[in-house]
Amino acid sequence: MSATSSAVLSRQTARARHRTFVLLARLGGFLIGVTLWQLGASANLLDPGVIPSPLAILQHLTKWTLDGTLWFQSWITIQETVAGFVIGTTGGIVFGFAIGSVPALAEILDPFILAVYSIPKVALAPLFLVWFGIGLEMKIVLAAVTVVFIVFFNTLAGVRNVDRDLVDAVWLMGAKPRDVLLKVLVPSAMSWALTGVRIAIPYALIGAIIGELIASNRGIGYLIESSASGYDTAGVFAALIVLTVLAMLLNAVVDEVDRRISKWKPDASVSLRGT
Amino acid sequence: MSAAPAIALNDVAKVFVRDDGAAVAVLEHVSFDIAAGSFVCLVGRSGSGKSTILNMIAGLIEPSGGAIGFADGSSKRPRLDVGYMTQKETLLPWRDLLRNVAMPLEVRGVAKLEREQRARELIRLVGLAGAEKRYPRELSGGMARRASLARMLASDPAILLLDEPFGALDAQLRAELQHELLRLWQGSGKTIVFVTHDIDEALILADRVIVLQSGGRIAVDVELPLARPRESRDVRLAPQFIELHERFLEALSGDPDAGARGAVGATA
Repeated sequence: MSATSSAVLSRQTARARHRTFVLLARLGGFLIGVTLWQLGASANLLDPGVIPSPLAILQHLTKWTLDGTLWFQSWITIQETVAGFVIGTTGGIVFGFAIGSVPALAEILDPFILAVYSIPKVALAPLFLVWFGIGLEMKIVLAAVTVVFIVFFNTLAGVRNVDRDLVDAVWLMGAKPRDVLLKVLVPSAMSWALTGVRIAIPYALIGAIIGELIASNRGIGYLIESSASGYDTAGVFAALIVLTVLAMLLNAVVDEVDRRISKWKPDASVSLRGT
Repeated sequence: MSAAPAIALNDVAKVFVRDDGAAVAVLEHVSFDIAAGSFVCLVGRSGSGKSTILNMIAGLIEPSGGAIGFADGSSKRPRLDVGYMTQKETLLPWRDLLRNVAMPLEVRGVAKLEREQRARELIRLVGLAGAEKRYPRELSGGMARRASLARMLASDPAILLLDEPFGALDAQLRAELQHELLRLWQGSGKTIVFVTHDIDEALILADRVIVLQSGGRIAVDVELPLARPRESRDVRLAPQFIELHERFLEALSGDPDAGARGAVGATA
């Protein structure tokens, strides 16, 4: 007994030690990289117009943090992303269920849906600019359109892949059609739909940023674009760092949501991110 | 048979149409009665139509000819007094054990408190107490089978249909669950129709064994003269047991068409 428990204990300490090592190596590697970068910049080995020094980037970030730019612009982008995400996923789930439950409709609409899906959504940005103007609406629509198909196709697949044996089993219990729909079809398809929702979040951010890059006067995309057009490379880098942090935060939120809703799903941890 | 059989098959036929348009007669002229409260095993090789018979009794598919009658004369489908358990696991993966077992009561509109209390009792009865909050993926194969047994019993059906329910389990677990099923059945007055390709399983479980050849032709139909309990080794080595085993085996392998209909169930 004590031999096994001490073996378990030593394995735990070994694992903890390994984790500390990885953390320290990451931190060390990062610091060394940034230091070398800064040394190179100070020694005039790097053209500041191409690759700015870490200190210059830090100055930008500090200034933006102090004057409120950082929060203001991030908040704009977050609003666009979340609004586009909510609209897009809701639409995707609703259409997915609607079209999936009427096989004839799915068959008729199939080529049209594929056609619209095939358009690179970026190409629609100028059109949305004409339709919705330069404000937040255009970015929200672009984000929603980017997201809607991902969720739609996943929901559709979910409705089509419901296990017939589960439906039979529940029908034999004496379930009414409404019960079969709400207690088998919807939960079964929801797990697929949620996979789509999970993949969709970074795409919503992509939609919003592209909208901002193309035409805007607010948001992180605007920050990148306006810095670049002023040849302020340090500003571009600083804005990209803000964007990276925002994307990572969004992914963390998704991971947490995913962990909570799909605890019954065996392959929930299979990451679909980065597709 | 007794005066009022629980289930009566009268000249039942089933024709399936294959993808290439050809019609295949799976069952022809199948007739037998099943007495209320009895444990009947349908034994047959793959393609003998034994699962098709069960699916028709359950009401999942309609006979192409003939009729299946019940004691109350009703032809409504699905019958609410029938519990069905297949070899494939059909627990709902998004529901924990408690809510899975309570499912038959839930679709019948039983109040939440009452159905959960009943589900807890059944979970204890099948030996899964403490696992109420686990999801199906967190249950082992044997536990999932016990859970399916509990769910089948939740609505207290008078007729239980089991289609090779323990076919995917290892020998040890299968024996355990056979014992469990007998324990739950004995004294309950429930009628059981149990489909298997495993002769030993039929000999251990049944009051009566019907051996089906291809097309649902009844090769043997016999009441087992074996005393219960039968799970011990001694019983399996008794001459009567061995004699019946030989007889059933002969009926199965004497089936001229079986080879053409696909492999014999390999898990037996």
